[in-house]
Amino acid sequence: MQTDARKPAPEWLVPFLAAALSVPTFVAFWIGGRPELGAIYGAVSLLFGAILVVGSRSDTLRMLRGVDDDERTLLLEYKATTAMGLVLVTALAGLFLAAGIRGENGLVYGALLVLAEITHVVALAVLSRKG
Amino acid sequence: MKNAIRELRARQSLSQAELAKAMQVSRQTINAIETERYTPSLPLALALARYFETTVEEVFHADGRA
Repeated sequence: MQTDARKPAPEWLVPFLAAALSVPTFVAFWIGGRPELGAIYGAVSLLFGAILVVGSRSDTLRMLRGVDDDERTLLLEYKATTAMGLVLVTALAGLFLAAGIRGENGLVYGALLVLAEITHVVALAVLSRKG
Repeated sequence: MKNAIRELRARQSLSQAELAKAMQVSRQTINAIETERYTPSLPLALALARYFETTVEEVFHADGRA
């Protein structure tokens, strides 16, 4: 019995999106006059997509592709996403404080921190109504 | 959580993959339950008990908890 799992996405979707992200990445940096940087960042994105396709035997990569999604993989994904959020917020807080030490206004980092906290609060409010 | 899934499965000569297919979960999830690395949701626990024609209490043991 499948419980609490999302409708499975096609197996090719995540690798395709990861690879496809290389195009706007390259174009954005090319427009900004740094095509070499765009090529490097785009290549990283392409490489990630390729690893997702090639590494079919890895349980972790299978979960990233959404293969055999079920309640356990969904729970693991929640935990992994929480860890990712925690690392990002910690990094942003560090960058915000570092900006303050350097005498900068740190507006971008501060705004992102506020956005993260607002998202957290709104998500909690919405999810608590759903039970 | 301690459980009797492995014994019940062996009694019916079922592979992890076959049980996983019947429960619509991955083989890795059945393995994780058997090795007590994952406690299934209540719906999945009920489905496992029904599949083996027994009760949840017979399949899962709370191990000291009320």
